[in-house]
Amino acid sequence: MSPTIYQLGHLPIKEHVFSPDRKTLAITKANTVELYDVSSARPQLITTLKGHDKTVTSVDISPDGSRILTCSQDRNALVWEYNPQEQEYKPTLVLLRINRAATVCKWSPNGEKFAIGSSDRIVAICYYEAENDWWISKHLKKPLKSTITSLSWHPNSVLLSCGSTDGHARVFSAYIKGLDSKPEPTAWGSKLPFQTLCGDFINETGAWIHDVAFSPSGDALAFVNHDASIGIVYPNGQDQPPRSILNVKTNYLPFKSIVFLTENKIVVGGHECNLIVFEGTEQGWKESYKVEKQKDLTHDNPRVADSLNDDDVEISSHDALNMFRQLDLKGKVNKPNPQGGAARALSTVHQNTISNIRLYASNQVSTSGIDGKVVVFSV
Amino acid sequence: MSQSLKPYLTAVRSSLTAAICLEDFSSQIVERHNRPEIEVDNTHTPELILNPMIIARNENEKILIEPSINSVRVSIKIKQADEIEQILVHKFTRFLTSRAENFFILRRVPIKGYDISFLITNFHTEQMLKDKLVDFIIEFMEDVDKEISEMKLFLNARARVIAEAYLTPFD
Amino acid sequence: MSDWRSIDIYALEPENFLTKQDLIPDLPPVSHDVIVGISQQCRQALSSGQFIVALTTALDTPPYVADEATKSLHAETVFEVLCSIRNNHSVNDLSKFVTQLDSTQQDTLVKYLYKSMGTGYGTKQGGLLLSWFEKTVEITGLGPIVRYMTDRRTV
Repeated sequence: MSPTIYQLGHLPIKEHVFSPDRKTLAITKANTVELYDVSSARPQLITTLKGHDKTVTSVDISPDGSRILTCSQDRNALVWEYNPQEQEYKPTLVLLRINRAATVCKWSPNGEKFAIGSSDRIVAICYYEAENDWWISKHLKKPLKSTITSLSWHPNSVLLSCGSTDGHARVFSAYIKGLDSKPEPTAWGSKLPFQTLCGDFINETGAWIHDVAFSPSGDALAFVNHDASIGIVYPNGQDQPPRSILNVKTNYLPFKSIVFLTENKIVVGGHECNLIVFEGTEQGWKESYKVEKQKDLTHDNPRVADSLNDDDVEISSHDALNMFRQLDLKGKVNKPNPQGGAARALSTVHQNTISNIRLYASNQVSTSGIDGKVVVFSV
Repeated sequence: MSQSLKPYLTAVRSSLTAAICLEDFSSQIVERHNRPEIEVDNTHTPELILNPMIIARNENEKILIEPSINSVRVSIKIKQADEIEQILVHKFTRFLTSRAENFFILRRVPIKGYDISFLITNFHTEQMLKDKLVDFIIEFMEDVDKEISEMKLFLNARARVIAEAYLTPFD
Repeated sequence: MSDWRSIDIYALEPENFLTKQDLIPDLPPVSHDVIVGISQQCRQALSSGQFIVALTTALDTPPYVADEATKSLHAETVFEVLCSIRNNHSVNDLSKFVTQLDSTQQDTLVKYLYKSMGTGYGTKQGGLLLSWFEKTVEITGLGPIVRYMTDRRTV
């Protein structure tokens, strides 16, 4: 099946999200978030959410589809709810208490709270306080020392993993007393008061983490690094070293996003502009296939080859003599005819970095890119 | 064209392709700022800078690529075989840098030890395709060499014409 | 008090920031004598014509945590091996050497190629290093370059 492509302007899309019924698509666009109705063939712009005064970095829709969460480099996060009387989306401010950019936001799977990562080296866990009618936050601070780039919730809505530019992928407990019921013990641990560090992983190069993801069961954690490798961790209970830590090195450009399709299958994508599927188990993972056929970016470049030939010809044949004669007589330079200019597009659908991948259906993923496209791929 | 130019340009191309993997990154230090991390003091954020790369064809021709999370600085040392070429390169780069505002990725001041520097940020890669940017720099490197040798030839040719013109009356 | 604007206030709360020290990988330091020993091993292997042995020996033992003198000594050893291989083989034979390395060794090779190009003796032999580089990247793709940039285990 060929991919469904939505070209939504040419501004970079930092993140996109489909509503649970897949009829609405939200994308970030500069300082705003745009909502599109994608139930028909052509996407229709429903509305533009304007509330931030700096680049919106992330957008997420709550699991029941009723609330839209946005966060921005202006240090704020907003929760948007549809107001049927006024027929528009109304924002509620979140008391984040951070003083650097908010970089990423994610609803918990149960929809009762959400997490915001920031450049302030803080993850804020936010939940609704009914008495005051606002969203308040608790901070996860230690031992974070660098910008949080990515977040992922465990299916039990208590454990939260975060990746940061110091190269660490960490798993925290985001247990909020009075809000969460006591979680079942998992492979990550059994006693989980707020801010318990259940896991801290760094790969051998210590490169920035771009994205983290829990497997569907939550019993494995995967992350992608800027060194073009994928790390996968299988934990072994509280205070125990993990059962296995795998590091899959690849020869692509760095990946920006990772999604589990099943326990044994992941999709990654990023600067390579293509999606790559990996399959494996606790024993080992390896590359399975590329979603799109792709030509090499660096080799096989006709432009350079041509210009090299040009010069060889110029120097070896009597053209050179002519050129010098021209130079000598008229002081004029015969420029070699300009070869370039022919638009050489990439062979993939995305023409620029894939910024974000999300699970669309059981065998489909949706991607958004810096080139302003949202694409649904079958994998 | 000499033997080692092709491997040189291939190396530059692959290094640039790997280095220009940028993202939007708001400053960790200054509130509500978004600044090219390679250009600012990184005493407190050393993790945002990556290892610099030097690709050298010989002592006179090399390129320095300094990558960071949201910007890459590329500095080129152009071949200068003799004094005329030194003057020409100086004039040529001065002409370009004084018009840097029309030349999005050009840096006004080159890094010490190099003739011309570019600063590529994530905002450039969002507007332009990466492989076009890489192509541009490669092409620039090829063209500069060509341009300088042409100017030199032109200069010599003019000198000869003038000399001939002055010498004819004495025939 | 006149220059209060230039006070580095972030230095007052070091626990919030990473320092260059924090980025040094947590590996055992390598002493200078060990590296001197390895360089002798490599020379012996080279003189008896075991080029691939010399190459793998040098690439398996990069001193990640060591002082500058030790690091540059090892870089010179690697450079010597690369020169010697190139001087005894044609350019196209280099690919055969690269394919015999495992992926970690290939990554290390690229690290040393960049390092050598940044040194005085390396720039004089630019052509030689560039042909090594070209052949390596032809086989490995961009992965080792990306890892050279990101790796905190510098050589």
